Amino acid sequence: MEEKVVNILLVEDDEVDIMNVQRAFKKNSINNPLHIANNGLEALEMLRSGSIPMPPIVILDINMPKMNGIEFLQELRKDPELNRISVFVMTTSNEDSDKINAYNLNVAGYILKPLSFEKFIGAVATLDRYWKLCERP
Amino acid sequence: MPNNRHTNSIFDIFPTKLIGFQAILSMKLITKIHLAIGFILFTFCVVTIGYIKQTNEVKENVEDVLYTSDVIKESETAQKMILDMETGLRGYLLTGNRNFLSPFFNGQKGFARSFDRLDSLTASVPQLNLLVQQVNKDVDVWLNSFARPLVRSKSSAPNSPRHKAHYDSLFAATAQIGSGKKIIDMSRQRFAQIQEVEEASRKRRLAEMNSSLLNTNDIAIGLTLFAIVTGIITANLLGNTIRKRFIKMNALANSIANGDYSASLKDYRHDEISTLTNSLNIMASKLKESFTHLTKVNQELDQFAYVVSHDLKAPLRAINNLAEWIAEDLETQDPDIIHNIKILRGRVQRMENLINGILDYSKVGRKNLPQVPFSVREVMQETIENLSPPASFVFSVPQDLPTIVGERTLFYQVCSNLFSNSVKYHHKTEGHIQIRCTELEDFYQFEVQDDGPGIPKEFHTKVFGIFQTMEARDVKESTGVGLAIVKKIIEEKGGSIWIDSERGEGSTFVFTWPKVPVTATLKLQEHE
Repeated sequence: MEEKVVNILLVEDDEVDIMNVQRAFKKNSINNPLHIANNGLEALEMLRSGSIPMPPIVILDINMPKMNGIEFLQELRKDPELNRISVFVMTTSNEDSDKINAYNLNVAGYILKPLSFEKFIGAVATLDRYWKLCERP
Repeated sequence: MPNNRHTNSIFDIFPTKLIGFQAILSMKLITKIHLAIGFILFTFCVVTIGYIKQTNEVKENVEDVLYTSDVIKESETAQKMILDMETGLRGYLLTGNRNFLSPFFNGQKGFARSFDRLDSLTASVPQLNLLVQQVNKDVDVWLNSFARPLVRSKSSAPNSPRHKAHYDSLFAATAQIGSGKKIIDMSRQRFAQIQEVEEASRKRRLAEMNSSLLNTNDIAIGLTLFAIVTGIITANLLGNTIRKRFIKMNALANSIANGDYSASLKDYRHDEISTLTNSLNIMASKLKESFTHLTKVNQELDQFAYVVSHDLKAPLRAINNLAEWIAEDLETQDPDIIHNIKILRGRVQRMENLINGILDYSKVGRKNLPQVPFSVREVMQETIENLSPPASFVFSVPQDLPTIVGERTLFYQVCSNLFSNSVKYHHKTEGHIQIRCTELEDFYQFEVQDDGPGIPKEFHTKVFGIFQTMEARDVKESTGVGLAIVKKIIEEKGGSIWIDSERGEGSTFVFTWPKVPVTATLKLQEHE
């Protein structure tokens, strides 16, 4: 059986954070295709237009312009085609309200963006192990 | 003119029947109290007047009875006088002794007196007066046509046989046929009639008196009962209305004390209590206003905290990452560059710590934490465990520490900051930290004594300020927020904190914690 490669959609507005993820992928030698959307609206459009092979895994920031992460999640869970997608929230927000809202919308994980890059690499390594499991037939 | 229009408008609003009721409702409270007391006093006046009137009636009845007795007594006296006259006349006629005539004459005088009295007594009763007059006439007839001629003739009888014969014939013509006796009997009959009439009226009057005495009792008891009942009803009505309104006001004050500021009272009356009610309502609405404002400000502060935690930290993290990547990509061994990048990252870390410090400080007291009873000893041991100080630092926690009701988390925060400070700022690698507790009247006083470097007196207040550190941050990495948070927590709970320390002798942090938590503190909604 052919090994299925999981596509990853990063929904993030901060350029440095995007670079951060890309660099962390490189360091962990993760070669999954990485798609980037700058806000929730863009991400929904990409998912609905079918430009990303289904089902992808979404890494989602919360504070974003136009449509923030929580609003994006609400839309996603309402859409019958997309509501089964795994979502990891990755944010600086340590507010309890954000965590509760996110888990109420059925997220697979909540990653607090650490200040240092090394710690972030560790977090991404954990993610990698998770989607390796998803790729298994 | 405006006054007139005002009156008209009242008539327009209220049906005429309601106006009296409305007037009572709009009366001042003191007027109502005066009216109620006035009404009770008025009832008592009515009682007194009724009693006096009834007493007068009884008095009249008594006088009537006494009058009747007088008439009877006097008529008996008059009869006795007539008897005296008869007896005196009889004795004289038999013996001729003039001594017997003195009762006869005295009787005449006495009868005249009695008649006068009877005449005046019966003047108001024509029937009796007529009888009395007839008796008098009878006695006159007896005296003039029978007694006096006999006496005159008897007194002259011894003088000559002619005189004696005249007496004998007169005696035979009058006394012997009983003409005098007839007249006297007639008068006796009349007296009996008088007495009978009077006796009957006396009985009637006695009965009247008794009944009016009974009436007096009934009326007095009735009126007193009426006065008492109206008094009780009036007092109750007044008291109840006042009490009900005070209970309502009390409920309002209680609900305000319990943090419900939306309560208000409706009072359509216009008296002194209404003024108080209105003031209470105004107070409640003012409180509500300020609390809405406070809630809004609090929400803004939360928003601010959120912005600070996310938006200020994001560029910091970017700087940190970029610095790291530059260092990686440079692949340089230049110690200057490596050192500078290390300092740069250290400063970024410090900035993050300071931001976290501000957040922590602003969060103190803004969240409602559960009030639970907790053992101080347990909290302190938990603090030390979580702190995990080097083994060379010894904490002595006494056995007999109290159990306090309050926010456990806040107490933990206080202990945690104080304990970690005593280890962190110790000048030696080993130390001994002594904890003590004394019970005061309203507070527990805790002391945390270390054998560290001590704090000079001039800094005793300064160290509690936010971002105040004893040493440059480069020497000892610290934000200077810990003690500020401790002070804020303790003061918000109603306690106080101070330092007892001299340079080189270690320092003692003393703080008090109230035994009873301060209730009715600001009840703020959570905005999570």
